[in-house]
Amino acid sequence: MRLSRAAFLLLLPVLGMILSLGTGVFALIEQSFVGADGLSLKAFQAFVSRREAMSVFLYTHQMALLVSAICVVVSFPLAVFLVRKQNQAYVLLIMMPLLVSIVVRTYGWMVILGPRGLINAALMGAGITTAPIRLMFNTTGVVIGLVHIYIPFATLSILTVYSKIDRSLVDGAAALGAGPWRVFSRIILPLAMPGVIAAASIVYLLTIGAVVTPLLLGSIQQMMLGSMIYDQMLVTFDFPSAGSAAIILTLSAALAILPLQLADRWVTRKLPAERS
Amino acid sequence: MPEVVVHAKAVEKKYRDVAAVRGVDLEVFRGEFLTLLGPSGCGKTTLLRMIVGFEQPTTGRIVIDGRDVTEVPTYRRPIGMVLQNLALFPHMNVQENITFGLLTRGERKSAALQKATQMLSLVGLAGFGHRLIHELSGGQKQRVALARSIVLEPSVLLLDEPLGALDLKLRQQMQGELKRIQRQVGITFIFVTHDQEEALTMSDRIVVMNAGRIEQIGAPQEIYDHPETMFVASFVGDTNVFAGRAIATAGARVSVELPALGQTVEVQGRGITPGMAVNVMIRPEFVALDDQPGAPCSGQVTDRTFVGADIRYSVTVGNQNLEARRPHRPEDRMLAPSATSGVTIDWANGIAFPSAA
Ligand SMILES: Nc1ncnc2c1ncn2[C@@H]1O[C@H](COP(=O)(O)OP(=O)(O)OP(=O)(O)O)[C@@H](O)[C@H]1O
Ligand SMILES: [Mg+2]
Repeated sequence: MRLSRAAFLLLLPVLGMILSLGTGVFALIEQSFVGADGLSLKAFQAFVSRREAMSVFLYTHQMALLVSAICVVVSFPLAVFLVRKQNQAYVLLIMMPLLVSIVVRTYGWMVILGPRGLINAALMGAGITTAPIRLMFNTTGVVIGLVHIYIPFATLSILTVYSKIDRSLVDGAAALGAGPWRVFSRIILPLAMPGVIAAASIVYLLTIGAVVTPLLLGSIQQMMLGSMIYDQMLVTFDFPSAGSAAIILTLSAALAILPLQLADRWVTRKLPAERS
Repeated sequence: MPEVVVHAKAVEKKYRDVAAVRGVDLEVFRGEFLTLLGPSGCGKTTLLRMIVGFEQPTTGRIVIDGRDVTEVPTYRRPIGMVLQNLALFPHMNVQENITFGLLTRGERKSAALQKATQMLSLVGLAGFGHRLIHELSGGQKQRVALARSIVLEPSVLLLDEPLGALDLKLRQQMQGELKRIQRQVGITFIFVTHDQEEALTMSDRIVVMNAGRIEQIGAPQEIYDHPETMFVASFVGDTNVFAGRAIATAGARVSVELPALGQTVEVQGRGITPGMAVNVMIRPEFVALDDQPGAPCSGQVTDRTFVGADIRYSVTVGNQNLEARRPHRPEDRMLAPSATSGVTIDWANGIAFPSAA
C-alpha cells in the first residue's frame, strides 16, 4: 500500500502519543537501572533477594493462573449459551458491567461479601453459620472480584471463535457415530481452543496487572504485584523499586503468555491460514 | 422379496404450520441405489434428516434394519450421511477424518489406519492421508467425505446433493465414481438430487417427490416411460402437453379430442372417464418432422438447437408450440428455421392425465 505524503501527517498524533507514553516508560526503566553509583542491576537484585517481594511475585502468578482458569471454565458455557440464544440482548447484558467503573463494582462486592454483608447476613439469618465467614480481605475476595470483572472479556473472546464453528460439523460427527461428549471433546473444543487460549491470555495479563481489586478486597499481608507497585510509587515514593518491579512484572507476563501462544500455533496448525 | 433396510412409515414433518413432508411411506431395499428426486423445497432434505435422526418426525415412524429408531439419537443409528457441505473436520487431516468414526467406535488405531488406507485407494486418493482438508480440491473433498462414511460400513448411506457444488465435468465424473463405489461396497445409498438426468443415470429406483409427497416410485425407465402423474411426466424428461377432452375409453386406452390440432387421437390413460378434461403428454422423441406428403398435420419450424447427438426443433402447429427431437446423422439434411414441415406424432406413446382444474 502506498500512502500519499499528506497521509503521513495523520500519523503525527500517534507519534506524539508514543513519545509522551514512551518518555514515562523510559524514565521508569532508567530509574531502575541507574542508581547513585551509575548503571547497575541493584534494584533487581534487591527484588529477588527480598523474600516478601518474591512471595508477592509468586502469589501474583498463582492468582493469575487461578483466575484465568475459573474465567475460562465459567465463560465457555456462557459463550455457548449466548450463541445458541442468537439474541443480541443477552450479549449486551454480559457487556453491561463494563460500563460501570471497576472501583464501584469492587465496592459492590464489599457490600455483598463483608462480615455483615449480604451473604453472611443470609447465612446467619438462616442459621447455617453462627459467625460470619471470611469472604473478603483474603484470596477468596480477590478471586471473586477479579473473576467477575474479567468474565466479559473471556466470554467475548470465546464467543467470537465459538460462533464461527460450522454447526453442520456436529451433524457430520453424529452421523459418524460420535455422541455428545465425543463431539464436544474432539470437534467443538479443539475448534474453540484459539478462543479459550485468547481468553486465558487476556485474563492472565489483566490479573497480573490488577491494582484496585486486590487493594480493596485482598489482605494487607498478601499483596499482589500491581498493588505493591502502587504502594511503592504513591506511598513510599520508592521509584527504583517500583520500576524494577514493573519491569519484572512485564517480562514475567510475556514469559507466562509464551506457552499459550505456542499452544495457539499448535491447535491451529491444520487450519487454513486466516486471510486478513 | 428384497430385504427392507429403511422403512419410513406414514412420516409427516410440520414446521409450525408448514408441512415439509406429508404422509410419506417409503421402503428402501438392501444394496440398492435409491434417489429422491424433486424440485427445490419439496422436502427431500427434511425426509433425509428424519431418517438420519437430525430431525424428529411430527408423526410416523422410522425403521432401520427392522428396529424402530424414531427415538434413537443419530449416533446410535446404523447409518451414515454425506452432508451437502460435506462437513469435513478442518482441524484434522484426511486420514484423521477417515479414522474418526472407527476410533469413536473403539477400534484399534492400527486397524483403523489400515482401513483408512484401503478406503483412500478405493476412492482414488491413495497417498493423500496426510493432506490437510484445505489443501484438497472440491472433488477430492467429496471423496474424503464419502470415504469416511463408507469405512464404517453403515446399513445405509444418505447423500444430500453431494455433487451440487461441482462443475459439470467433475460432476459427471463423480457420478460414475459414486456408482462404481456403491456397487463395489454394496452399501444401500439414498441419494438426493433435483437434477433429473443425474437421477436417471445413477439410480436403481427413483422416488419422485412434490410438495412433501411421493408422486411415484420406480426404476428410471419406468418413471420416464410410464409416469403416473402429470407432475412426474413434466419433471422427468422433456414433454409436450396438449389440453383436450376424453371422448371414449377402452381399457388402458383413451380417445382424446385435441382442439389445438383439430384431431382425435388414441393415447394411454388410466382412471379417465369420457367427457373428462385431460392433458395429453408426448415426449419430443415421438414427434417426427418430415417433409413427405401425407403427414397428418404440418407445422413451421421456429427454432433449431444442435446438441451433438440430437437436434432439437421447436415447431408451431396451429397455435400450439411443440418440441421435437431426432437423432443427428451427418447425411441428414437439417431443417432451417421458418421451414414448413410435416409433423407426425406417435400417439401410442402419449399419455393422458386428468387435468387438475
Ligand atoms: N427448519 C425449518 N423451519 C421451517 N421450515 C423449514 C425448515 N426446514 C425446511 N423447511 C421448509 O420445508 C420445506 C422442505 O424443505 P427441504 O429442505 O426439505 O427441501 P428440499 O427438497 O431439500 O429442497 P432443496 O432441493 O432446495 O434442497 C421447504 O418449504 C422449507 O422452507
Ligand atoms: Mg435440500
